[in-house]
Amino acid sequence: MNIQGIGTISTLGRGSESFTKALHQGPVEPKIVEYSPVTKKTIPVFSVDDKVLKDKEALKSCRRADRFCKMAVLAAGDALKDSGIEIAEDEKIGVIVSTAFGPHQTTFNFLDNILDYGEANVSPTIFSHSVHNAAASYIASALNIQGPASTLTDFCFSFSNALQLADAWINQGRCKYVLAGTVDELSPAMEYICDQKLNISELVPGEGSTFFLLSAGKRKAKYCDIECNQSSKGKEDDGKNISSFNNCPAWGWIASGSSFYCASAALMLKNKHIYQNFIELKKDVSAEHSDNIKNIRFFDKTKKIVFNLTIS
Amino acid sequence: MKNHQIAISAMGCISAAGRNITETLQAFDKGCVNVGKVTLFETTLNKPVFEVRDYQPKCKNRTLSLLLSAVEEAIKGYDGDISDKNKRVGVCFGTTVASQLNNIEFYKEFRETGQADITVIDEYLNGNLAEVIAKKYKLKGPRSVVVNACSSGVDAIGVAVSWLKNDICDIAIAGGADELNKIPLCGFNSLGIMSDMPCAPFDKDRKGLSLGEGAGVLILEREKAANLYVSAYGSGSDAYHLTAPHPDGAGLKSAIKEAIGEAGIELRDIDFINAHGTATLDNDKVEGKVIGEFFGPDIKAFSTKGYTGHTLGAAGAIEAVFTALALREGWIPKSAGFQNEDKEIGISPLKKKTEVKGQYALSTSLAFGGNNAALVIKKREE
Repeated sequence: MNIQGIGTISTLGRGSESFTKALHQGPVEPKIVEYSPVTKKTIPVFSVDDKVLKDKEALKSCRRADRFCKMAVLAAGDALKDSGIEIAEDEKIGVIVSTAFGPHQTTFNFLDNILDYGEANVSPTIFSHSVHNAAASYIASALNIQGPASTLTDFCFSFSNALQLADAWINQGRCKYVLAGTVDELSPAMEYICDQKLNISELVPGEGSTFFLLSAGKRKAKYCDIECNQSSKGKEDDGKNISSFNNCPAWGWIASGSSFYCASAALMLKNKHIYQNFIELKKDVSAEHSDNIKNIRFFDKTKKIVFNLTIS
Repeated sequence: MKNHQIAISAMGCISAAGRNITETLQAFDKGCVNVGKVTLFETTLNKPVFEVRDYQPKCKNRTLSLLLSAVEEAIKGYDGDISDKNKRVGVCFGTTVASQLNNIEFYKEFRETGQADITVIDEYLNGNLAEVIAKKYKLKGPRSVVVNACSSGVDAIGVAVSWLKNDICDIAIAGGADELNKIPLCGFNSLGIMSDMPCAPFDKDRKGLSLGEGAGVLILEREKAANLYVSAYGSGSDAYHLTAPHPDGAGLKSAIKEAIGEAGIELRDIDFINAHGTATLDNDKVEGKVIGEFFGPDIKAFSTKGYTGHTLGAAGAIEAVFTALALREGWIPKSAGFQNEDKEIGISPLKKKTEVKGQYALSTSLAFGGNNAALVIKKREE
């Protein structure tokens, strides 16, 4: 399958242009936030600036949406726009949203309601936004997509599972295109959890959304071809590939964040530019600019290929 | 791509209707309804619910426990070794509650003190339904959890069907599970769509849904001789509203069309329909109208929510099992709770147990977020 469009929202800003610019510039400093007014404890985070989420036109049908949904709608819409493809009325688009933790800030807001006002006095609006598939619903309505839509939650495997399902839907002929991506958010409770569970000196929590417009492989790719999970095994190593670096120096640690590596790899292949801050170079690949780079792979901790991007 | 036949090799289910398939069929046969007050947790909300009674949970996580019960029943009935190292066995389940960071005690403690018992988070991180089942049975294959609100269970079956058709796995364990939980109880109550009486799907005087809990599981295989098959799965988005269905049922129509087309059959080949039928004013009106428009007012239709309540992420999977059972047994239960026809709805569900002889049946699901799904289940030709 091919990547035809990319949309990103992260601490680096919105859109593939700002993402590319940030890749050129290299790592940025995280913000320090206080996650509890009681303990006054702080944590460094790569959070998304609320100003980035202000787009009255793109979000006109999402006025009541929370940050989680807004990030997803903007990234998905940008991916579609970035492709430049005019979708015909009879061409079906699918939507696959993947998330590690879902809209947990909204869930916590709902718990606030129960604790503060009692079980019988909670907000129906907050409840309806606390379901994981609220983002997919907003994407479908904002972009008027009536094809299949699904939301997957598999912690660190969320994005690779979304890619695999997108590939299956396209191969089956369920849809001609799939908007597949990830969205995850930060919240004070999540920052506390990260403070307890992560080695913050190495992994700084982040948030954001990345979406891709994917098509069948037979259509010329705007960016590159992408294979995922099982389909990428057995690929010959031609000595000209590079492996993406399994770290998060700019957008932060996001459980579903392999989508950001995928976006950066697709941009490297398209721009024929190796963003050395973000990758681990093989010995025979040293130039910052290289026409030789044809293939970028992303591995999980067990060295299994999660996805494999190729440009012909 | 070849349109592979997807065999249903085994099934399992648990709900208020019964703790296994045998008990469920007995309840359907007699029209028994097991409804009562909430006993699983303290609540100020006095709504009838469908809890699984006389049930000893297998673990602390009740949703996982219900799923384990259904999986164990399915594996017990499976004619083969599910842990066969030479087979790629995929695992895909739908849920709502198990996916959410919604532990009230954890959050309350964090809010008040700025810290909380982190073992709650460890349990959450170790509670991915697909991961747990795959590890328990040492399964090597894809695994995923679908969170499409009330269509999660059937959509998980749809994912498994896609995996099998694309040769991503050889066998799939698919379904859905959800426990009765305080958060959705408060949430659905706030939406004003919960009934003070046991739910009455498609009834003229219906007042809303009743919550339930349970799990439904299918073991699916590609190109295997079987008595029952998942003939096709289809889905579509309303692209309309976060909670209300599209007034014309746009997404449901799209899902049914896709499923019927994929199955390679005509609408008239569907013998009966196991409808989503939650008993909310909007759902039943839209769903009934679409079913009536597509299949005619005389189609044999029923909703099993009158026996199980709305089991949310489990519903589509439980109802897939019920639909397959109805084809296998040759009868469908009376639509519990239904008394009086609503002229605004295009169909009138069955008031008594009815014999069925057809080869194909349809199960429909509608969900928050405008998700709609349809599953065609086929009985082997005699």
